[in-house]
Amino acid sequence: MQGSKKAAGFLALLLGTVLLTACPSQTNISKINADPDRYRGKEVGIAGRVTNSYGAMGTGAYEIDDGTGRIWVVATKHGVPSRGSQVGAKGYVRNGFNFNGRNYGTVVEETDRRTRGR
Amino acid sequence: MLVSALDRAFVDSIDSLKAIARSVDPALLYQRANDLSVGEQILRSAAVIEQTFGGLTANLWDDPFEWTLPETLATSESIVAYLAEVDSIRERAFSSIDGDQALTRYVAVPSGESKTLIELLLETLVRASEYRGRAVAMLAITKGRKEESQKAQREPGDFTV
Repeated sequence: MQGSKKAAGFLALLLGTVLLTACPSQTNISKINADPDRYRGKEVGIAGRVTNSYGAMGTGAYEIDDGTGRIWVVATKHGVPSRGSQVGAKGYVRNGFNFNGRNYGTVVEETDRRTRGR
Repeated sequence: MLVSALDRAFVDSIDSLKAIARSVDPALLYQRANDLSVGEQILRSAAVIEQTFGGLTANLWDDPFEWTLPETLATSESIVAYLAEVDSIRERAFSSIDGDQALTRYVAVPSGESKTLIELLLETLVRASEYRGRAVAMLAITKGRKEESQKAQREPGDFTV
């Protein structure tokens, strides 16, 4: 009995650790922009309104404003959302990024997205 | 405040570029001496400023090369108009810098490295000044050449090789 409790506890701890490390940290854009080195290569989740977007053939970039700041998100799989949409994006922070002939300082390289709106 | 001093330095730099553009003889604007011309050096100086402030305001660090070609900005007037655009970007960028403390924050630049804002602004100022200095030098050289050739035309007998 004591042993199975310990095993269940260990399992819960392990599961919690796996879930916590698997989920990107939800953050606000001003924090990323204020300390880009800290977030470099980290997976983050951001949410806000699309203020700018361009792209074609399933790739492109869009800019999210979450009320604290703006950041460009580079999308290579799912196309780009239209301007005015509310999106939640998940991806890796990259510093110094060249994409489609444009130079970005800090971007999020998108891995997943949820869109609401247009 | 340090921010105000830096802002002032950029304003002076842009004003100085406008003054050079207005003072240059239209025929000498893109006349090359040692592979350089006054117009190109003015545009390079302005482009350095535009790239930094474009990066700070829109996080897009595109090199303004394409829209600052001599073919696109062929006259002094068009250069001055472009410099006014650069100045408005400068104004927008500085309005978002909230005091001296903000100068210590880090900014990611296209090379991938992060620099403090003050480091970035000072580097930009130095690079822009270098090109501006070259523009002034080119202006003096081309003016001198023109005067020499005019003198030679007036007094052909005195001209010795």
